[in-house]
Amino acid sequence: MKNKLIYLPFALLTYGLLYFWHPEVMNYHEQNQLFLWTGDYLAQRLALPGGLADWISECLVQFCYVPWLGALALTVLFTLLALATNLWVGLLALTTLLDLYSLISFPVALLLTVAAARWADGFSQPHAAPTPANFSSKCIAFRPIPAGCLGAPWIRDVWSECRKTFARPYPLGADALLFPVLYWLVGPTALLYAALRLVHYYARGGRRGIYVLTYLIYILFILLNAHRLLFPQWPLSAAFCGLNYCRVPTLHPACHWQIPLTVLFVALAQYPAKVARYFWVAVAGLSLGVLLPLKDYDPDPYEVLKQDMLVRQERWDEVIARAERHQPPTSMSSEYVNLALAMKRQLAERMFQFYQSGPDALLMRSMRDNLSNMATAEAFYHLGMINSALRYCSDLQESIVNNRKSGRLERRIALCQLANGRTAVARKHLRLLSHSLYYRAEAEELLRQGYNDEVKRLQRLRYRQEMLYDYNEIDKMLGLLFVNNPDNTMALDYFLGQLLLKGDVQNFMGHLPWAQQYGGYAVMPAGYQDAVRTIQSHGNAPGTLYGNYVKKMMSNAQTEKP
Amino acid sequence: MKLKLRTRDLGRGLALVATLAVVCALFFTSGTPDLRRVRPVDALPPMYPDYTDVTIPCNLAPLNFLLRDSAREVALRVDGRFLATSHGARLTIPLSRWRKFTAEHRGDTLQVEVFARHADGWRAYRSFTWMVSPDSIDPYLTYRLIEPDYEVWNNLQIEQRSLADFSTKQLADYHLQQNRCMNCHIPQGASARRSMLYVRGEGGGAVLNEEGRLRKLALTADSLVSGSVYFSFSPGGRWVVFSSNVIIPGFHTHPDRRLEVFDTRSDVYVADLQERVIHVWPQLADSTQLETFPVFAADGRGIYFCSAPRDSLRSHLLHGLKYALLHVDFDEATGQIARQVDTVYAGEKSVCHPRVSPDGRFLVYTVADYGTFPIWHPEADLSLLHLDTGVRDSLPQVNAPFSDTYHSWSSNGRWMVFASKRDDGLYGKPYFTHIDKEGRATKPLLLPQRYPEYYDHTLKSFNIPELVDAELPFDAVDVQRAMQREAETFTLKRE
Repeated sequence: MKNKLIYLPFALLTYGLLYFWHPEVMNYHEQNQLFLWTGDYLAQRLALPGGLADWISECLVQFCYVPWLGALALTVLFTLLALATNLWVGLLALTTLLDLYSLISFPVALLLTVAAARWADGFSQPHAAPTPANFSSKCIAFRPIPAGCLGAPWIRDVWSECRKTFARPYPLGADALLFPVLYWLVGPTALLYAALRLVHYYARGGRRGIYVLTYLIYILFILLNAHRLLFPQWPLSAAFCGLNYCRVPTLHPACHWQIPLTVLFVALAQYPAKVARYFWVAVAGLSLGVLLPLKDYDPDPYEVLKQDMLVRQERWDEVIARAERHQPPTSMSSEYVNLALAMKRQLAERMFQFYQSGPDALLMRSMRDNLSNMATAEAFYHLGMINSALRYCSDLQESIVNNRKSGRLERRIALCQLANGRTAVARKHLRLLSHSLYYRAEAEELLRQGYNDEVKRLQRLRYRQEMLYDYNEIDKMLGLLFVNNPDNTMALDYFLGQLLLKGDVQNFMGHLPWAQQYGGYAVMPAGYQDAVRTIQSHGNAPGTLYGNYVKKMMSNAQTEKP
Repeated sequence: MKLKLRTRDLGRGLALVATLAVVCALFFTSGTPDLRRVRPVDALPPMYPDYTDVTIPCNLAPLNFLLRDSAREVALRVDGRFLATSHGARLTIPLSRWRKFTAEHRGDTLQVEVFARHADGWRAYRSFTWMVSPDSIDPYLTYRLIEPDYEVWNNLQIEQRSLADFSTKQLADYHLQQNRCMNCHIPQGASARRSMLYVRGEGGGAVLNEEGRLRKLALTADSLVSGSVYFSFSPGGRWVVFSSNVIIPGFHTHPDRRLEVFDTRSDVYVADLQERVIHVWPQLADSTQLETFPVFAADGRGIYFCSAPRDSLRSHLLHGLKYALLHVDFDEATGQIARQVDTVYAGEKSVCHPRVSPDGRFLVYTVADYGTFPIWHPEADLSLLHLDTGVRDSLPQVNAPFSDTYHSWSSNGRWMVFASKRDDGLYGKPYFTHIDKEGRATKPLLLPQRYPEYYDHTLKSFNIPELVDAELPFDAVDVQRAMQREAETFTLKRE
């Protein structure tokens, strides 16, 4: 492709998709890692095959903290991938065979497919219980992308340097050294390089089977021995499918190989026999078609992720505004919207105008995955339930199964530890953050001062009374939090809200005077008036929002009974 | 073009190389201070780990340390001779030099001086002593690496570390165990010939190492309280006494407290590894009591364990849950236990993790204000009981303000390793203390690392440290293979 401007529309499309349509996806990936600018961090990555690709991918993903920059970084990456394909197409002299425009679009289209749709796989049933725990397991951690991309500049250099070698009839011996190096840097995606070299070899007329056989045996030898000698504590499958290609190390989703395989199919299309050529073109096209699972696209999971992003950025009004238009019917969504309402002091007023999933609509039980409890962790933190926030944040971070830290959660943990007076532990987390790009400034300030306004706020709000946490009595815990500090009006709103969600009308009515006395409301909030009307009419007052909630809960309970 | 090498060019090249070598030497090597110009400082060096006034096993790896100040160079002088110098605040001692030094000074108490160069010149900190103990420590340490979080664990590893240097070996690794929980690698009396660890979860079991042959055991039965948790081998190796516990986590709201892990039910059982029978004795499995932490006496003639009334679970915030230390006679030949259970110690505090010294003279246990999980109790301390006299020693020279618990003895009985959170209150690290024939303990020293900053950076706790007298004859791959087998089942026998 001579005119490189042809990539511009793709680049713009990629940028638009990431920045305008799905910025939350970038946010999600960014909050599941903590990239450190230290030699140790790089060395740790390079200690395993595919480490350089891993390091580059994390380096790029860190920019997603600033959405426009993250979108730009990923767009550059995707465009490089298209260019890499183009380079191979050029090498294989395919210009007269196929429409290159569509060829180079393959990887980009596939990539966007993977990015846009596959991410949402685990989220495809938003009506089921909260956020499915397997959400993260289906997420691709961008690893193969730089792995594929990295081949391009490398191959270009090698090409110019080793032209003579390549021109020889049997050039495969040159890979004896190059393949292991490439394997160590980018992982098993290097197999694509090996496959393309074989195709290239055949395309140039090489036919001696013994060379090909030796080549294949050598590759197998390298992979098996690398595993046996250098990373035996990993399963053997990791040597062939990648160590950190997926956030769940033991998973090797087929989609990881979609891009490399399509490139390979395209390359095979230059096979001299005409029929075979069309066969491979068809296979490449088919693989593209198979990999377009847009029919499964469900916007709700993305909406929840978007709420998570907005809550993280404390854009409370936007959370509420979006929920007014559409709210996914999940517990997480209820929690995010309720938190936004509470932060804007609208919870008492408007809670039941929005979807409420049940007694877990304010605070959820502990779950073992890296997302479901994020809303609860945020709520605990803003309420001032420091130990609970610390627990949920720690467990969320520990649930990132590839053992990466989270900048978002590390920051929360450090602040909670400081508020608890655990300076030594907090400093440990802050030192970690001080090596990152976007968390450094605050971390360094806290390392210097030992506190900031946020720490003081948390210390003001926290419990004064020792007790053991009990989710079954979360309403009482919220009540005590408020009693310990009557200025904590958010705790009061949560307390009364929890009583309503639980259907504990007696306690709600008993504690309603607190709302008038301490809540700072000039008049009784409309939401509480609505609830009182429902309670006084024994649920028979028509059109009451709380009444509708109670009916829905009762109906759900009856459905669940049989 | 043919390259002609002329003598003049060669001379220039050599001069350049020599200059570079001199520059590098000046830049990368550090010097010793001119003692006439050193400024004395009336304070101990701010060294981390704190290796001042410690007793060092003669076969331990070098005590690398760093100074927690703005030192630009550090020099270490021992017994009047400079042992090591460094650029920057970190001082690492070459392994060969350290080995020679410890070999030469076995049994000596040495004067140690630390010098540091700051912006204003060299400073000499107050000197301290190192006692190089002639008692060697077992050459290997095993432990579990885990992040001290709450309910979620991830990426667990059981590791073996050579104490003579810094090399490690994975004994069980999460990559090969589907990220399941793994715990409690415990040898039989610090012997590498027999040990056992657990892999939890679906398809899990106990992996028993018998001189390198791994057996997978289902050390449980339907009517047991739960799976096996704490265990101990009899000296002969035929018997295993273990507890089965229903463990519940509780979460504090107080800033100084974090977790409260307690048992709602627990009993102690004796398993015969030879006949594959689990014996249930009413003395050890009383439903009104919570029995746990069983351990064999050094001679195998008794079992020590802890017990608390189950009623105490109802006490306010579990503050009344206090375990006593009990003893029951055991016959290793027949596997019979006596009817009579004796109370060894029952006090104001709760007793956990009793461990008897190999010579049978001392019993070290952890005391906490209450409860059964001292690792989360900042006040938890070690205590030593002289079994022959009944005298209790609260080990003030060993304990620190944060949790000191989970200890094990070396095979010669002169060293003890324990997990202490003294640095920051959260991350457990292995400390060693020397215990002489009279039961006197020395100031503990932290397991040295190749780079002492390791402890600043790691987010893992060293859990269940155990000393082992030789390299363990298996690794993580062997454990993975063992886990793929069918587990050997046990039958239950009520006595």
